[in-house]
Amino acid sequence: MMIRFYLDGQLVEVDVKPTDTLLKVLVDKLGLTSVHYGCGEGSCGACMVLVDDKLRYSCLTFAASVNDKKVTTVAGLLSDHELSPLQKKFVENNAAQCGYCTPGMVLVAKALLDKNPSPSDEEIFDALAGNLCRCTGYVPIVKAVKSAARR
Amino acid sequence: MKNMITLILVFFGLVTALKEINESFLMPESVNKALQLKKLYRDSALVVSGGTASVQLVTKMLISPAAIISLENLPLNYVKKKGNMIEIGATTTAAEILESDGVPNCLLEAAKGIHGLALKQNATIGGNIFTPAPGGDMATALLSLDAQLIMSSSRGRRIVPLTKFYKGPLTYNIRSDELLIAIRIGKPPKHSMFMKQSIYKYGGQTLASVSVALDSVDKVKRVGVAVGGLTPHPYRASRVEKMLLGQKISEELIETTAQNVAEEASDTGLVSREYLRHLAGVLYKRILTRLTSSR
Amino acid sequence: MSMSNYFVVGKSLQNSSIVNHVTGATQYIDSITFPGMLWIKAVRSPVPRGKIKKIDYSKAEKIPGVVKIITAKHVPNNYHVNLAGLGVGPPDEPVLPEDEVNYKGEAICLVVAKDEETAAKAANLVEVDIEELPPVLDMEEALKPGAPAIKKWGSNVFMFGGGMDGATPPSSPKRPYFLVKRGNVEQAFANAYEVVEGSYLIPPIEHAPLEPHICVAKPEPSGKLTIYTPTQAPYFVRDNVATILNIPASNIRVVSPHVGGAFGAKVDPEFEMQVAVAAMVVGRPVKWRWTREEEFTISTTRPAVKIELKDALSREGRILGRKAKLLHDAGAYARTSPYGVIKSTVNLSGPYNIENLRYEGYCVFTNRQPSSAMRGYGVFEVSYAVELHMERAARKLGIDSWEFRFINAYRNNQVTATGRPIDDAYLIEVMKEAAALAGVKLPPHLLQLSS
Repeated sequence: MMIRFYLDGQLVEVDVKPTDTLLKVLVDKLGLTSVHYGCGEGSCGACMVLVDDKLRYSCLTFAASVNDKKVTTVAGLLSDHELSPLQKKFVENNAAQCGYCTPGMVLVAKALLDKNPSPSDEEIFDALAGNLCRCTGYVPIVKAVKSAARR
Repeated sequence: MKNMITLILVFFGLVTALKEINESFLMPESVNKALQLKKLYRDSALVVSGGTASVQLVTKMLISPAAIISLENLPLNYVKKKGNMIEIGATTTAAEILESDGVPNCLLEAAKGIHGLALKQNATIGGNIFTPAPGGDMATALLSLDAQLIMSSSRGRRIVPLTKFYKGPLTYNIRSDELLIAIRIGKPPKHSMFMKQSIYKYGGQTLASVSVALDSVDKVKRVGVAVGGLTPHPYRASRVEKMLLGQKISEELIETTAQNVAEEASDTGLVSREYLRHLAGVLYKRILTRLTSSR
Repeated sequence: MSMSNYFVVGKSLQNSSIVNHVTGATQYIDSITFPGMLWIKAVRSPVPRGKIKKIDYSKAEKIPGVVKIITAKHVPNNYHVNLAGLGVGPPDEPVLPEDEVNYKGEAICLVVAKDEETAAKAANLVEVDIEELPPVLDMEEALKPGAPAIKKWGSNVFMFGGGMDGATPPSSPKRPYFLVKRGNVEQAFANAYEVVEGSYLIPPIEHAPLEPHICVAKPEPSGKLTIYTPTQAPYFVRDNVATILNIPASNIRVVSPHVGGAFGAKVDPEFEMQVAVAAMVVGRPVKWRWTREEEFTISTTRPAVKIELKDALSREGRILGRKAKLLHDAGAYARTSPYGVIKSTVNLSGPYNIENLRYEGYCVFTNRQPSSAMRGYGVFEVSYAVELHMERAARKLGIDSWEFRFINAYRNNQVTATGRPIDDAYLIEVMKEAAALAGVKLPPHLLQLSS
């Protein structure tokens, strides 16, 4: 079946099977580098995207369900090739080592701060609990989110 | 997870045999349309609410449904007060419950304990009721609240008390043409509390959970004690409830009743049966101690 | 020159890839794709040990989109050992097994198909008739006389010495363990004021990198092959693939761009060889993306290790001698384990001066998923055992454990367990610094010491 959706601001049309996940379509069919397969069961958050401003594990989302919707990956946070303030904070705090978990971490931080511009430490830990990191370590990531929050 | 997958395999093994695979993805915009589709496909379709537990059944090739019916576009995400009652639409997410007024404390705590912002924004209360351990935290809370399920089909409506919903592992009191539309909670009790033990503080599966709803700590007239994680679906600790009825909750009573909280427990593969039973007792004692300390 | 004058030392530098990481521009292997690319899924052993009686592909081959089923007979030179380039031998691991499987999940054959689901569906339809054999799952059981031998050479241990381990000359005696000895250990025990024994267990640990194993191999009409893999050891991959394909290493190009975490999990050429064979047979690019389940159950782990330590102590707190026996669970195949055992065995003194010693390190084979390197390979396991043992010994002597460590710490001009002279000992200085940071007040006589 053909579906169409806005991917990081661009309209795309793609032929999908009803059982294809959004992750599969984004990586295998559209060749995106900004979403990653990590677990396939919503445990690690490496495949995170925003669908109409709601966080989604793209491995747990059928591609057909985003028809006519807006899908944003971390690449979509750039404007005019300029990093968003949140992305800049991740850079300043060295909050990425291998980088595989980073897109998911940035997107969850964005979703959190959009709703709650000055979260407590507890709220940051709780929001990020669905995203795993194995090499950067959570300390610089949490520091980046805190520094991006309104104090 | 492994246990859950095994159970689901057994359950869906029958389903796949029924129908030739005719893959289609359906996303009805109205409840009526959804009920027509459910009537047409019956158990051969996979019904997806938030997708956090169900999508991987397909991606891991554990099931091959004839169709996928997504409830995402149905107007079923709401929390409404109806007189003395609260009605929660089946596709209301944990995040939406946390933002709503009038939700009993234990259900709020269960929703808050769903780890990570992404899961909270996707896990739905309706889906949670069907999800076996280590999922089903909100189901445990609802069970302690005597929640009622509104089942709908093209033939009409049917109310099923949650206490009568679980018939066995992944076996539910739902007919093949029915959809769970909403959950009703009667007059919220004066006290209610949910606690769980998960593998880590932030994130990780629930090992055991307990939810208690009480009208009074001085003379108990109405009580619900629900235990999750020990069995595929939560159960009511009815022996404990009987022991509490008509009593004033004292330290001794908490201690003696706690022995009876863990009626049954299955090895989850994550931890032993003995440890689960121990956890349930500890969580129960912590809840009652906390509830009575405000006396 | 003060620290602030250096460009790098003492500074926190920005990760050179970080702007790409936060914008999702970093290219990992998963986004590498080629026109006409095919996908692999493996048929895996359901048992830890067994004889392959019959493999029936007929149902799988009928699935539309299945291109080829790859078995041992497609591999020009089936047996290999990862560290062959370092002189380790003999080759003990098949790219694909011929008649027997040695761990649960071992790939029996590979289905190559037009996409991932087709390959997975077809792999589920391959019927393998396996006669289950009693598995060896415990190291001590594996060493007992009469235990079923899982290695073709008739035992469950790697033979060190004789040049087989990449560390000893060909003239050295062959032994079922790696031996490090110095001084007269029996004399040290005869002179001991106290003897302290301890046994220490380290469980296997999964690296769990966030990026599971993934590889693309692309053959060219010229006979050359490019392999895209997040490996930590591109030269190991190149050499091992060249060996099993029987082609010159110069025909193979290994591209290892960004790695999504590895921690040692991606140091072994394991599935790259299988992908390379598949690509050469079908003559098209092929990709294999492991699932998280495969990452946990098939990829290597840190080895399970058992370490037995026995120390001869003087009344004043000096370690006069140490005997040690180390068992390292290699799992089913050697991989990097012989090297790991050597590393562990030579480090059994820890950072302490022990003049009389005898250390035996065993590389034991069991029917478990192969183990291999993980951060601080060989040393982490030993440090854990040695430092616990130091605490135990200090307690037995009634000496403060800081003091006990200061007494025994390496000084300059001493030699290591293998006889290497030490000219850069800093343990005493490091311990003084660590004590200060931990708020431990050391007595003046220890603070006066230096290496």
